[in-house]
Amino acid sequence: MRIGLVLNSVPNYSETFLINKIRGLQENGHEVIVFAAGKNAILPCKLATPPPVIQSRLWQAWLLVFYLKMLFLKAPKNAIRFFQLEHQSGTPWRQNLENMYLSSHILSKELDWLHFGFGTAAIRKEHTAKAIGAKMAVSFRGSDAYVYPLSHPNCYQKMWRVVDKVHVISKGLQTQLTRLGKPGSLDSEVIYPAVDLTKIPCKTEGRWFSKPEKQRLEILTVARLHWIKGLDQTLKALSMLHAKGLTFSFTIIGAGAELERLSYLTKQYSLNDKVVFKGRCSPEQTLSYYQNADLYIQYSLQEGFGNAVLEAQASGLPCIVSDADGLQENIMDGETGWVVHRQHPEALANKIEEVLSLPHDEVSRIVQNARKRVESTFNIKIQQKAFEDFFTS
Amino acid sequence: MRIAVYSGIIPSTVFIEKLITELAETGHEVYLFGQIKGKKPTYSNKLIKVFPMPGSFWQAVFFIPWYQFQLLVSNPGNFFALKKHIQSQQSGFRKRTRLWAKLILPVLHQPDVFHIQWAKSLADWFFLKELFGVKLAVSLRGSQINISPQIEPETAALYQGLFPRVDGFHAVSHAIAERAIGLGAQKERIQVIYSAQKTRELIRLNTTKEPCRLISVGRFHWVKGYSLALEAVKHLKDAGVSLHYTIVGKGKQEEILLQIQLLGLQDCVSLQAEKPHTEVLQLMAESDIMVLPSYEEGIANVVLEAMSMGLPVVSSNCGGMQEAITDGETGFLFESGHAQELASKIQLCYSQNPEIKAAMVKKAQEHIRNNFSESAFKSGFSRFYTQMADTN
Repeated sequence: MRIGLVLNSVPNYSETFLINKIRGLQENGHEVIVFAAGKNAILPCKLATPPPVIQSRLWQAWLLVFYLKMLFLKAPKNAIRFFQLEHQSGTPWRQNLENMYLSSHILSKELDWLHFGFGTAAIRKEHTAKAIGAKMAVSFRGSDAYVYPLSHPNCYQKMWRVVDKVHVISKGLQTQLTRLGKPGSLDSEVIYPAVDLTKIPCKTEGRWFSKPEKQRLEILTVARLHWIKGLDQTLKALSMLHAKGLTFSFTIIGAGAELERLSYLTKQYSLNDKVVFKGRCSPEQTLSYYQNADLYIQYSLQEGFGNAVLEAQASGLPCIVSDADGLQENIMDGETGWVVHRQHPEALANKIEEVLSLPHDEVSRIVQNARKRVESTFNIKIQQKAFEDFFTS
Repeated sequence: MRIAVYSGIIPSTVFIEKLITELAETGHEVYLFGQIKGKKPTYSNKLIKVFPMPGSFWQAVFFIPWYQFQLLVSNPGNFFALKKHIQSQQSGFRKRTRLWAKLILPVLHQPDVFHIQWAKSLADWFFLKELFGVKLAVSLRGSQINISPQIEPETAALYQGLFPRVDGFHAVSHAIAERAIGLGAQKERIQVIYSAQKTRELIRLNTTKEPCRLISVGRFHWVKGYSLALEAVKHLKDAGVSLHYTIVGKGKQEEILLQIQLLGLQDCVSLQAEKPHTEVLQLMAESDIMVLPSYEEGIANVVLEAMSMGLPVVSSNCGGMQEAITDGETGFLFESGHAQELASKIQLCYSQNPEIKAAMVKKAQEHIRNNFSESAFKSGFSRFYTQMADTN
C-alpha cells in the first residue's frame, strides 16, 4: 500500500516515535511518503513539502495561481473533485481555493491511505483524502485534543463527518474526543506509544534509594517548557520541600516559551542553585540523564500519554506523575509508580516525601514492575504490529 | 522643545499613546518615529508629527535615497557621520539598507530629546547622543525592567553598561526607579512621574449582596498572575461565597481556559477579549471589586483608574502598587504569589461594612486626585525635559 503521512513539520531527531512508525510500515512492505514543511534530514522515506504561506498578500495570490495551475496540469481530476467536495460542504469559493492550495502537494499524489499525524494537521484538509481516492486516518496525541480546541471550539466538526479511522495514544484521549463531538459511530483505536527497550539501558542500583548515606536527591523532568506541563506547580512543590530542609537538585530538559516564567519563579522560591534548565538535549544525552537521576516527575495539567515517562520507567527510574488523562494509563498508582492529583503542589510535595521514606525494597519492586509493564505493554514490536493492522484491517 | 517618542511602532500601546497626547498638551513638539502597524493614526494636536519608517526592504530601497538627499543638502556633516556609523555597524547591502531605514529619520529631523519607551532598544540609539548631541531619555516600565534583568544576566549586563550614560529616566513608580538605580542609573537623573488620571464620578457601590462581581483587566500573560486569581476564586467558591469573576484582556487564553475547566469554575468565571477603553470602564463600573493578581508591575494603570472611579481594589503588593494603595486604608494588598491570602483579602473587602467601604473608596479617590493628577503629570514632564536639556 501507499501511505501518506501528513505532519506540520519534518520530525526532528528526538521524535523517534514517528521514525519508528515509518520504519515499521516500510518493513511490512508499504510505501511511505511524508508531507511536511522543512528539510529531509533523517526521514527514511520520501518527503513532499507544502506550498509556502507568506506575509505579502500580492505575492501569496501569485503563488496561489502558480501552484494551482501546476496542480491542474498534473492532476486535474483530483483538483476538480476537491473543489466539488468543498463546495458541497458549503465552503465559500475563495476559501475553497485557499484550501486547495494548502493541499496542492498532496492532491497530485496517488495514495491508498492519507494519515494525518496530528488532529490539527487535518484542519482545512478534510477533503483531501477523498479527492485523491484515498482513505483518511487521523492521529490524536495530546495538545491537538487538549489545547487547540480550547481556543478553537468545533474545529473538528468537519473532520468527524469524513474521517475513516481515528487513532489515539490513550483511552483518556478517546474520552476527550467524545467531549469534542466525535460521534459514537466513528471508531477510534488506542495504540499506545512504545519504546525500544534494546536502546535504553536499565539501571536499578546505585540510585539515591539504595545508598545508605542519603545525599543530594537528583530530580528530573523531561518536558517542553509549555504551561501545560505544570512545571510552575512542580517548582512550587519543590519550594515546600526546600523549606522542610530536603537537599535536592532539579533538572529540566526541554526548551520553550515558559522559560521566563519558570526562571522568575525559581528566583522567587529561592531555588536558583537547585534548578537547572538544560534546554533541548539529544536523545542520547537525555538517556544519560535518566541514568543519573534518582526520581522522575511529570506533573502535567494534561497529557496525551507522556512518552518521556515511558523512557524514564524503562531506565529504571521511579516516577511520580499527575493524574492527567494519559498519565493515569502510563503509570499504575502504587504498582509501577505514583499518581498525584494535578494542581495540588502540596499533594505532590507530600507524595515525594512519602516515596523518599519508603524502604529500598519497596521502591525497587515498583521500579521493576514498571520496567516489566513497559516491556509487555508498551513494546515497540506490539506498536508496529498494531499500526500494520490499523491500515490493513 | 522637540521631543521624539520612540517605541518602534505607530500606533503604540495605550499608555504610550496617552503619553504622546499629553506631552503635546504641555506645548512640546512631539515627533513619532516608527513603523506603521495597521492604520496610520491621525492626531488632532498639530504639535504631534508622524514620521513613518519604511516597513519593508523594498519600501526602504524606494524611500531612502530621498531621505539621504534631504540630509545631504540640509546637513552634509551629519550625512557623512551617519554613513560612517552605519558602515561600522553592518555589512552587506540588505542589512545596511534596513539600518538606514531605521536610523535616518531621527538624524534628519534632529529632535532635542529622543525618548525611548522600551529600555531594551537603548543600545541602538546611543549614536544619536554620541554623534549628534541628542539627549537620550528612557522610560522605566514593564517587564523589561522588572523581570528580564532579574533572570537574564546578559540583559542586566547591557543595562549596567548603558544606564550610567543615559541623560534622563522617566520612572512610572518609585519602586521601578529603585530597580533602575540597582542597574546603574544615576538617582538624580530619574524623575518619578505618575501617570495622569482624569477626575471621575464615583460609581454607585453595590448594595444588593450577591453575587460578588470581581474583575481583572490586563493582557493574558503569566506575569499578570491570573492562575493565582483562579486558585483564589476556587478557595472562595469552596467556602460557599457566591461570586463571578471576569477577566478582560488581549492574548492567548488557552492556559486560563484549561484551568477553569480543571478547577470546575465554568459557571463563575468568564473571559473577554480586548475591548475599547470606554467599554472596559463600563464593565469596571458594573463590578464590585477589582483584582490585580500580578507578580510584577511598574504601577498598574487599571488600578489607578479603578481607584479614581471608586471601585475597591485588591492588589498584590508587587512593584509600585504600595504607592497607590495603603493596605486596609485605600484598598487591600496581598503578598504577591499567595492565592490563599488573595482569597481572604477578597472576602475581607467584600464583607466590609458599607460605611467603612464608602469611606475607603473616597479616600482612595482622593489619593489618586492628589498624587496622580494631570497637572502633576504635565509639570513633571516639563521639569524632566528642561532639566535634561541643562545636563551636559
